[in-house]
Amino acid sequence: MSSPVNVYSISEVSQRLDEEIPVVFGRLGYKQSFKLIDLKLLIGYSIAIVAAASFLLDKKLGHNNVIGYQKLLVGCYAVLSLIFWYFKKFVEKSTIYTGTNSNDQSVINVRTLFKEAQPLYKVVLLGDDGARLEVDLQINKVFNEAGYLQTDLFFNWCKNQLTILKEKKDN
Amino acid sequence: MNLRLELTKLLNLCFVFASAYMFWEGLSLVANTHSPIVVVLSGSMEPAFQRGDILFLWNRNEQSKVGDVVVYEVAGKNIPIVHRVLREHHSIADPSKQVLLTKGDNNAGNDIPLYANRKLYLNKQKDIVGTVKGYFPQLGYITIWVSENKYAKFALLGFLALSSLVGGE
Repeated sequence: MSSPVNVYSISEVSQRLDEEIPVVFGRLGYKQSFKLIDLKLLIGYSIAIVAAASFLLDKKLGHNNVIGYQKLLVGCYAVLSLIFWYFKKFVEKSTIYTGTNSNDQSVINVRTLFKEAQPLYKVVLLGDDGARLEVDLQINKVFNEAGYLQTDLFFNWCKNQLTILKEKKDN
Repeated sequence: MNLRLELTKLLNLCFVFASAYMFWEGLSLVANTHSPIVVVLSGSMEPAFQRGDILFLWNRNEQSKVGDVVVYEVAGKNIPIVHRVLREHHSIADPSKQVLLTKGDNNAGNDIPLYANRKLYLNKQKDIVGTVKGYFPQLGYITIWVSENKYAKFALLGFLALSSLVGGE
């Protein structure tokens, strides 16, 4: 059993639910695609490597001896940071799960959001044919008082939402 | 263990350090100095600057003027000294060649005894870290407090650990 979360912190609750989503969709027959998260990690760690290189150059050789290289590294850092911001804002858009159903090859994209001081977990389900379902989950429906996630309740809730999305698609 | 999840968490931590360091490095390049922000460590410039004041430096000026407050480092010592330019000499043919004599406002004599290798003047190009262009009073006192008091270091670490524990909300 996983550790309990502080149910009065919507960020902790959302993080716990985000971690559970791949498990739920795995049980529903979806195979996760890691393309987005891998790309995000690649850009993110490139930024970290550029910063580390700048730090090591400065430390080992002295600031005044490496000004040319530092200009290049700061420029790279700025460009990569801009790319990372664009990626988060316009490509990833809070996507926490992308998966393909192994039976019908349909693709599902799950985005989640939360607002401070609101006990709601907002989920956006996107199908590959443009079908879209936006729904709010009241967190007290899937967490108990001690802060443990009731995984079966959450699984059933997700399954119901998926059925609604499929019905929307069919109509 | 979900490797990607752990890598994402580590990335967030990397971003905290990377953004702070690259901000400093960017500021260094813009101001043309290896240390664009310094903390006043002594009372030698009182009443102009007190211990703990934070100073913002600029090093793109070709020459310093008499009366400018400059920060310099003595060869072999990594302690920045903040004093005022008392006298200057520069070459007419090459204005970038300039030597400076400095003095703390609160000191009785000039800085010649502080200069390395029995030098009588500072070289503007080599020795000056930057000219003071702005300041923020007392904000740097915490760095003096932490560096001079071993208990303060532990108190600060304890405070940071506590705030990270209860900071979730």
